[in-house]
Amino acid sequence: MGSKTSSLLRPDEVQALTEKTGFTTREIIRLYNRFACLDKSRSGFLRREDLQNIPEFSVNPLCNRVIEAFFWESDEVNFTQFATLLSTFRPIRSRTVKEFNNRDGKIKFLFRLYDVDKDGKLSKEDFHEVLAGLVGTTVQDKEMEKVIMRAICEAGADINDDDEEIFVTFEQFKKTLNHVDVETRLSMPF
Amino acid sequence: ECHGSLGKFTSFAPRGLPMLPRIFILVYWLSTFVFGFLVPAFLGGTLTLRRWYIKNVHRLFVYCDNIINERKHLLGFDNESEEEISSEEEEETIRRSTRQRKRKHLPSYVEEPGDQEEVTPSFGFCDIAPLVMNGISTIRDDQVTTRFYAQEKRLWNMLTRTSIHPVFMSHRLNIIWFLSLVWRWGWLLPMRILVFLAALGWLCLATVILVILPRSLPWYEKCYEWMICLVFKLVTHSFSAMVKFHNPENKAKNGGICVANHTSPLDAAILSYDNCYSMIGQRHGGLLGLCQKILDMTNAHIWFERGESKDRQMVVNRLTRHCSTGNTLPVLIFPEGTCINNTSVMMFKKGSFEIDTVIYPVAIKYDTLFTEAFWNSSEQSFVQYLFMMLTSWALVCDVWYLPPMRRLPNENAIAFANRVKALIAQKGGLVDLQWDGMIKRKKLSERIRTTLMDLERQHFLESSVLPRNISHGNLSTLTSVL
Repeated sequence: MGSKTSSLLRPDEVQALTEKTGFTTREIIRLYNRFACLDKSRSGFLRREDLQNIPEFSVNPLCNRVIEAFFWESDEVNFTQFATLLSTFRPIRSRTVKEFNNRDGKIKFLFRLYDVDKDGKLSKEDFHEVLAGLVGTTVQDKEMEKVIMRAICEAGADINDDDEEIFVTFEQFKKTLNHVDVETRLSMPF
Repeated sequence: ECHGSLGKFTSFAPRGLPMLPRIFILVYWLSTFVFGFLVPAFLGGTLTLRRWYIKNVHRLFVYCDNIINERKHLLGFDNESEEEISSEEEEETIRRSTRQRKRKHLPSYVEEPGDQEEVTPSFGFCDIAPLVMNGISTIRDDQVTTRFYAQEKRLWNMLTRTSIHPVFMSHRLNIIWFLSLVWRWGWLLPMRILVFLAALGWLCLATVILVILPRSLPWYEKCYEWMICLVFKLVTHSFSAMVKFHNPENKAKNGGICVANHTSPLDAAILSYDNCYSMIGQRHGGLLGLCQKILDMTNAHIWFERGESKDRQMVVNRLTRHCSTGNTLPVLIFPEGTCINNTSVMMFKKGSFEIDTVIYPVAIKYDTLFTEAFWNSSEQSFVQYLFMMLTSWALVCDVWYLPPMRRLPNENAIAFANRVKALIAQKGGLVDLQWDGMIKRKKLSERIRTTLMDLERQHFLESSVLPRNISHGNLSTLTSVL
């Protein structure tokens, strides 16, 4: 699959990627074949449509949010960025933990998934948009509001009279996940 | 100038010697062609010779694989194996949690004591982790898009088109590869082209004979069968085919419909090797169109103009008419509608399963180590594909004839199609998928997408604390949509 393109990957590039992401050579080659398979326009970059064209991914209720977290920094990703992003989900093995797939890296991805307006803080509207999209269109707004408020409170956000100023910061977000096994839940075999 | 070149030519003649090698080569070429390819093709082929060939080619692949592994070890790619050994335990926990995730995901909240009156449940931010990981794993690898590309091989089969090693490996390998190149392009290719041309020639000759002979002759049918099957025998031999037919007692009979999984345009030729079928398909131009016209002269095939094939009702009508008129040959149909890469069977179109006749399912499985038979029409043109096939090692495949099936009285066409598909997938060792092969060319329709997404939502919400919709989606519409 994509056999011709895998020969375009130079050995020094493979080496650099191995160092950066912690993937093995074989995994990098397979990821490259996957990248070439998804990159139908052969431009060397993946765009949002390329991911949306994966049928099983397009029926995931969170697909838009995952795509936004993926394309956080730019509208298109090249192979290095693709591999780096996916390396976030590598299992944490004692010898090959890199900055991307350590606990903080995984939590950061989850944070970005929730952060719809990309302001570095999670507001009520952010949560509402993500969770409402998850639950479906005809949701009971009041119920959802209560769940969100409770989650925000438990995160330790400041509740003042002004409803608009309620935020959850990254540190507070991280703290709520202290008892959660993020390492296993946000990892997958490659 | 003309005189000069002729003069050069004639000046050779009295000396005689340089002409001799030329004649020798010509005779050698012709005789090996006739005796090595043409005669065996006519006689159905010498199976033992081909088996020997396949066995030794496979040995060559294994030998090369060993060289590659040796080199990998020397070049230090073995850091891979070290990593794998040290983390098997961790791999196991990850796999177990992935499996659990795929089954039922449990919410992460903890019941607070003395809080039974509390209505608002506690939502953990990591509750959505299963969905997120499902999404990421489909980005990494999914069941559908991979089916439209050639599958990965376990051994390298000495073709650069399936090269999986981007790094230079060894001189021995390069030499072997070069020799195999000479063998395939210098020897096999010309031979195969000649056999292919012989097949076309025989097609014309056979058609002439069959048209002249009166149909009322008692042995006409047998004669037709022998002659037309021979055409396809020659065609498949031009790709060095080694086909094994299983359960020939289940071969399709007159008046029925034969359905098979589709991998390459040659599927029809391979099946016609053993049995005569009425073909159904679009009219093409060029050489293929000419062949269609010639085949039409001796038997009733069903060809459509380009626009007509979209009209499903018309297709069904013509099929019904064909199957019900007398003793017509069984119709060969590929219900997937497009080429899939032979690792899975995709949705069968229900049109041919609506007709009230016997269905003869057939499973075709190629051994892709020797030839990649899958035609990736978005990457290769037909001519390129033919060239790839003509310069490959051999075409090894298995064909299983499955017992005939009929639609049950309380079964609708879709359920029947799925039943047949499941049997074909099981026999051929293929994955049974519900997705439509047409996704290859166009995106999933919005209707199907939203229906499937609602299904995913409900599945997730079953075990989540988030409030659910009061009205659940109508699940019975799902089967009809798919």
